[in-house]
Amino acid sequence: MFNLSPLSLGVILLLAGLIGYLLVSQISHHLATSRRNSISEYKAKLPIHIPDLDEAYILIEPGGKIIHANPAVHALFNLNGEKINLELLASEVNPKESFFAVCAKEGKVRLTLGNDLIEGKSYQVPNKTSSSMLVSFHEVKFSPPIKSNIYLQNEIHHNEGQVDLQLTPSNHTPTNGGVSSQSSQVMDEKYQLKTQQLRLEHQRTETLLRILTELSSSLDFEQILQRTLEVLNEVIGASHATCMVLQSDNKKLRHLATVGYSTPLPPGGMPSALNINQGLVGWIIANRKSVLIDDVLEDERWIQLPNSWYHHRSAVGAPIIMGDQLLGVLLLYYPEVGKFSAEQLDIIQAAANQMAVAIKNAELFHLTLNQKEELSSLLRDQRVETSRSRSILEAIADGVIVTDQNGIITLFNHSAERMLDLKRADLIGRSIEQFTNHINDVALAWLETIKTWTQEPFSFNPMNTFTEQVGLENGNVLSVNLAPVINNNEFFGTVSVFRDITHLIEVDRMKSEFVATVSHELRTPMTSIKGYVDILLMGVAGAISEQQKNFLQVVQDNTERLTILVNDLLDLSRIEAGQVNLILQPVNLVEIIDDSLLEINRLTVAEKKSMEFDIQLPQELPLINGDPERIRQILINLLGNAFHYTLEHGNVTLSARQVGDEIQIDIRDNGIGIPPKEQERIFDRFYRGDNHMVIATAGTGLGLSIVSKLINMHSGRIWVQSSGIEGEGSTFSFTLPIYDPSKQTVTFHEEYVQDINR
Amino acid sequence: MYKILIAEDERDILDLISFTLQHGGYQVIPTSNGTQALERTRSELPNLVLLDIRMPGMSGYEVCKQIKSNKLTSHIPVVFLSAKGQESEIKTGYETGAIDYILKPFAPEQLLIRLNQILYLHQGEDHLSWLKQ
Repeated sequence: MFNLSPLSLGVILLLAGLIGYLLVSQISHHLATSRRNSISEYKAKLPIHIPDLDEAYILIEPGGKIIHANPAVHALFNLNGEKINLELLASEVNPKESFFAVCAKEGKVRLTLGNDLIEGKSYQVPNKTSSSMLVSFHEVKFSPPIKSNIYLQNEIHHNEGQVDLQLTPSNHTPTNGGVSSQSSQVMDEKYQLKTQQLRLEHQRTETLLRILTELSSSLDFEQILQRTLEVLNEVIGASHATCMVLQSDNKKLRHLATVGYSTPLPPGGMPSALNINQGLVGWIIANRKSVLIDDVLEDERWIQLPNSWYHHRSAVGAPIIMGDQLLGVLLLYYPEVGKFSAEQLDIIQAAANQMAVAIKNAELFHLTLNQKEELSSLLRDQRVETSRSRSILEAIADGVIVTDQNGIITLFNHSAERMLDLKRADLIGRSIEQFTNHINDVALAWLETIKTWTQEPFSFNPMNTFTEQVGLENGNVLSVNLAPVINNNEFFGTVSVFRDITHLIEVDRMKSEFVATVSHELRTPMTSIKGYVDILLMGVAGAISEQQKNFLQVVQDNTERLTILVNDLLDLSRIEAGQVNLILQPVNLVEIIDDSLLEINRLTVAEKKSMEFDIQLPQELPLINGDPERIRQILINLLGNAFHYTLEHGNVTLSARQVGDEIQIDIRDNGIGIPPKEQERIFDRFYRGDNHMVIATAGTGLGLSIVSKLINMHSGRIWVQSSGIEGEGSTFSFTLPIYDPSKQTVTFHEEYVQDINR
Repeated sequence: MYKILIAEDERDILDLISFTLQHGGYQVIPTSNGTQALERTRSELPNLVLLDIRMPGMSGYEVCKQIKSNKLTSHIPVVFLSAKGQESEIKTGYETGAIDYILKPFAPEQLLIRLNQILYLHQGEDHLSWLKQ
């Protein structure tokens, strides 16, 4: 037994605890000054809660250094600021475990942690006044040391010189502060072991439950991992912890959650410095096994990163696995060797398994989310497209009315409202037949066509459109274009486009008026010139000399030329203005050819120039669909050209034959021909060739232009072939459609609208 | 001698027609506007009326209509001599009751031939209607 000092006041309670390196320097300062407020500050930083005790106690860190002694110690040892043999005591004790509690008193000291009795050793410590005093040391190994979860409770029982101190992890076991020292004393060691196991199991379950709760509390994947790691580490007590997840390319790991590192992770995590086949992580991935290392510096799997701020010693890690798929790695470190236990590894592995589920769920969630995003963006695009198309239809100046396959009006735009002077609210969603009540009879054909198409969707030719003019009561004129909406042989309804052509018709009217006026104003003076010259030439106004007659002849010829020019100009302008309407009928071409030849014959007589005309016609020539007066104009013009641009006694051949559903007429001469470079221009207005014969012939350069337009109006074509060599002549060919009684569909309105829209 | 009434606002042309018709052996009643033409047609009952269309005041169309709607004058053949050459204008001319429509500029000789023919045919018609009576 140790000697007891009489000066001992009963109890010296000394506690030693492990603290971080940084705090060490502060400790000696505290020892020297013993200032109460500094101590409470310091205690707040300790990993365990130290109750305020009146009894003497000291704290010793591993290695034996005294980090704190309360004022009672000074009184007990009568130190008066001296650092005496406490140092010696501390070095003798030299605690190895996380916490070291030292209790001293005369007699027996007991220390309990929860229900566990912590055995103590007694040492004799020299005292200043007496030779020595008895100090009882209790090494306390907290496993794990959880800050704020373990309390030293200030319950010291003076019982025949004995002191009980209970260290109780709060929240975990009942604060069974009242457990008597007697009952604790009789506790069986096996029972205690069992209790310890149960407590650990309970703690583990509790932790996993919290992890599970965290994992299911949010859908933010990274936040989940972060919270889970924090909860796990509250139990494990590592200085650093990280959760790394394999990237989608399976080539790199990313830190997605960390605890204890100075810099927080950016959103989306941070790639790992090591490859997936390197270091401890590489080993865990390759072997798919958890690992517990007491000292990484002595483990060959460990790779110390250069420039690392951290000095890990203990490490524990577990793979995060779902089925046979490795998802990531969980790693925890501590700067001291031998920090982690096998039980903790179990908790970590269990947590890793839960995390695997969470990661997998998150992946599925993201997949679903992405698909949803994709679908909704598709939908959004479609909506935008639809509303854009609708807006365009709403905004255009043309009136648009759309009906569906049942003849219900689905769109009636603003312009249609304005043009027809109807309220769309009265019509949208109603049948098109409602229109009969709203619009006057002129639009009946349009309504009937919509009805027919709606009732018999396949009664129309897909290329078919319907065009009509609608005269409104207010005097405005609309053109309506109606077309079926067909996609993949399915009938979706009809679309009608209304255009206000009142203005066009007015312009058209003004144009005709202008042409009529010009025509009149030009012809009136020419009437006088021509009339008087003719009378003078007739000699009825008195005899004229031969020379006077010649001169008057010149005036007459040029008047004639001017008259033709005016007539041609008016003709062309009327054709271009769309004022010439063909009166189409079945035409016997042979009759018109005969008629035209009579006219040309007059020309040969008048010009006293002989020419041979050869006509080659088949026995049977079908009727053509044309305007006889205009066809005659075409023939006379082309035959006249052939006659004029061929030398006297030349030869002109006219032949006609059926080609497909057309008649082709060729007019060939052996005149001057047309050089190839001029051929493409001869149908232009006012173009005349350079040939001396052309220059010598009176002409306006409008004839072929008119001819080509008239042929086009007949849906025919005209072209020329010539080598351009004088004497080889040229061949003008044109086609006219054969009359087909079943195809008489061209209406006045269609043709009219085409013309004014040109 | 047949009497032909001429309505023409252009002095030069009125003279030209008058000269031509007189040379052809007709008696001429020259007028220079529609109103005058209508009055003198009613008062002098010519054998033929030759009308310009575009004249100040009453147009040739109107004169023709009035002549044709009056029992006294409706038998008189009316011929238009006009620079208005559009299809619709010519059509309107015939619709108002004219027997012919001659375009300006015209050849005096041909004008005479045309009018001779019309009067010859009309005389025959008159004769026929007289026979019927």
